[in-house]
Amino acid sequence: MNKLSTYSLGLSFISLMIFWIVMSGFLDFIHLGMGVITVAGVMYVNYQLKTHRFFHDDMDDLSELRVGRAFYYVLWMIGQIVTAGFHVAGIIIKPSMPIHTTIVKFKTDLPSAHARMILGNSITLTPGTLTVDIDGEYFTVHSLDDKSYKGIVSDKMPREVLKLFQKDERQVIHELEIIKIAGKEN
Amino acid sequence: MTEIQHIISILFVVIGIFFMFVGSVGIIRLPDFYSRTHGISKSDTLGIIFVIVGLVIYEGFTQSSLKLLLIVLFIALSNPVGTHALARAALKSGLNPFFSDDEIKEEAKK
Repeated sequence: MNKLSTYSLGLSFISLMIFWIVMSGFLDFIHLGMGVITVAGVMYVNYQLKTHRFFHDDMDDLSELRVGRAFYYVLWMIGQIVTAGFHVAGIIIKPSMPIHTTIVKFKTDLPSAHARMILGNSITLTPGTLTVDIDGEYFTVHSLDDKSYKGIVSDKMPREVLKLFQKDERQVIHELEIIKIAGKEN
Repeated sequence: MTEIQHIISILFVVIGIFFMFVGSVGIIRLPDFYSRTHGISKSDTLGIIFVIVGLVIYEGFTQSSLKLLLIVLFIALSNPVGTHALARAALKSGLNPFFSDDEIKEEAKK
């Protein structure tokens, strides 16, 4: 059990308070006071969950996150999702349906479990690619066609995730393996 | 001003409905579980997000549009987790993915 920093507690208080204000819409003293009491109750109930470490390299706050980079990442991600969405829609709607289902396996070199979580979620959120399994540092990704996994294999998306946490650039993906024919595993 | 606002919001909602339609077509057309997961989760999420963004543009900057943006955020957070859980459960229970090269080989044998 480790203690939470005041930065982390303040951040969760502010975000929960913003959520309360958006939901209620009233800014008078009584409603805000009820909000403060509710937020304190929620934080008390969730304290044990937040101090529990699920991975050895878990972070208790977002102090390692580069905020300016995170805004750029969200916008870049929306662009990726929309372009890939139109690509997948084109594949499905074409009468010949040119799919080449592929399994891509690779090892990642990312600083924390949070970075791997962001990468896995981003891969699943992008149409055409789907994170099937994350085992430690090893990812298994299912891809609908050859163009879909280009962004991962060329190391573009993993590098963007790395830039969220660290300034230096390096190769993130190692031990890349592309499986196109059944029988290679199991 | 409101005319342009209405036109843009209708455009977004129509694009969203198109993605939902494509997702439904994908469930029927795609060959196996994993590729069907692509069809349903991706096109549906993109569809819902486009529809809600269209509604936000229709609403303008009010409290309701902030709530709608929160819905977009929660869909974008929960959808990949659910999809990943389904695909992982399928892989762990031993369902093999379908590879299109296998089908080509089988046709060549015939």
